Amino acid sequence: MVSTALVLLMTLPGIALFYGGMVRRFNVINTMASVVGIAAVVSLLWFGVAYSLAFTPGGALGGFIGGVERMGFSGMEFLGSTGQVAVSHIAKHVPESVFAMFQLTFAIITCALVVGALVERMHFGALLTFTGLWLVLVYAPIAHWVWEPGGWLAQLGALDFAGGSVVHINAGAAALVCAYALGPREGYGREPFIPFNLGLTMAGTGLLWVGWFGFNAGSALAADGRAGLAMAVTHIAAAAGALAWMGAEWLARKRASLLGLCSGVVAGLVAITPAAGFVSPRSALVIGLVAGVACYWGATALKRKLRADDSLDVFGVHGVGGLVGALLTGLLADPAISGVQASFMAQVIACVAVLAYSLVMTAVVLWITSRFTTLRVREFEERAGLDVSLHNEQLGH
Amino acid sequence: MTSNDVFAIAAHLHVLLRRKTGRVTDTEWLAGNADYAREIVRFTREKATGDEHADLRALADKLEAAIPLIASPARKPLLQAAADTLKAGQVSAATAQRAATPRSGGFANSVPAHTSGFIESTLISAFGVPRKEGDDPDTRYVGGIR
Repeated sequence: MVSTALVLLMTLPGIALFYGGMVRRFNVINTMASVVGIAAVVSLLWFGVAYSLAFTPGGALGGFIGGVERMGFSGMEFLGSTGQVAVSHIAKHVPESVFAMFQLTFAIITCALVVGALVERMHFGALLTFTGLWLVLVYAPIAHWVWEPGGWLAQLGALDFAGGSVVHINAGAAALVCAYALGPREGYGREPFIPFNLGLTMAGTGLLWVGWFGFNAGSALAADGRAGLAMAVTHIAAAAGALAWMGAEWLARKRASLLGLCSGVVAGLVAITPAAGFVSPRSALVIGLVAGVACYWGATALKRKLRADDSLDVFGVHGVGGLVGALLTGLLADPAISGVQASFMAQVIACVAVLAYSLVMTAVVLWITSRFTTLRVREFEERAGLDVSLHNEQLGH
Repeated sequence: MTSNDVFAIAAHLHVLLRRKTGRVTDTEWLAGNADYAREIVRFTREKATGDEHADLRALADKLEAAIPLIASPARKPLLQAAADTLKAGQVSAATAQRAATPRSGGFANSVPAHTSGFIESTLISAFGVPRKEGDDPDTRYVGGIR
């Protein structure tokens, strides 16, 4: 339950502050509203449909999608009179209501991460519609493949302790598609897009760092030695990621920026996510260092090559960081810690499968959304800022 | 009409002027400074001569109607301005005097600045690293925030 609260804290207000600080002044409210709106939409759909599709065994298609028996949290009962409580077959020592809520917070943050690629130009209604469809058609199946024991990637032996592929590669790929589909912001590449307040971004980073202990250590689904190790490696990787990004930035630009340090922290945290319950602290140091450099490259050189206005570098940090973490898990996982032998090939297959499915299906979901509503705001609305043009609100002076 | 409406008109006019005349305006300033708004209304009408520019004329009319809602630059009476200037001068002098007076203690006086072992955060002074192309604050955030 504590971990559930910590992971929700990563989104509300962690991601809201992290992204809100990086957008321009007249889009801060829209960015924060997007995160809150997504949390609400995802919560109700998770309760209604998505949890069941992700975390129940399913029938003939059980390798790809779950069943319908837990829709509306059906059967998730607690009978105080008889001392009975429903538990999931995945986590038999915690109430299923807690497991479902814990997994809900992962779904919320994954959808909220995508916002970073489409800020400052997407219609609010279109965003919420897209998010609802994306949760059901993209997130839930992938979570089933990887985390439901009967899922085809889980059967293959792919390891993902806390969401390197399900959360980060998935969100990164979706973000990239959204950036391509929406097109660049007005003036992108010609005008300076000055961040509103990097102090907010730093506060968001702090909340992410703290909340990540719930994300990774909580994924042990127990308060045991493995959870303790997951917490330690999470912290080490975050610190290593920050210093590696700072070093790369200094070599390239002779500066150590606050945004770079914050980005490095997130890069390290992202990369250790799939590995947290499988690697030693020394391996975590390696993962953090590699991720810091790789994500710096992803958010700068790779971004220029991709020619997409992935506004807040979701693919560069989460996509690349998730890939680095998932692949290094295949190389560095210690069987003595988890009793599981990692397979590098299984990790590669999982990365490719998640990346490909998310890329294609996100495009499909965007196309479906565009049949119902306009994806992008009009040019003058974008110039006026989405705070005023969509929400009729603005920050004080 | 609210300030948001004024801002929306300014933004719309900004887009049309840029597209049709190449003139780049400052949207926030346009919605916040009456003198600037009047000048842009004048410029817009000067350019909006043909039928194809009816939308420009309409927006100029809207902006002109909104000008009473836009704040005029504050103008102080000359005597008030002189008094303010005098006060500011006195404050500066007092601040300078305080800075020149040796302080009895505190971390700032414990080690003379030039003997500090700390390297400046930019590392320029320590290693003589030249500023690179793209370091210009005006271009820092063009094409990406990182």
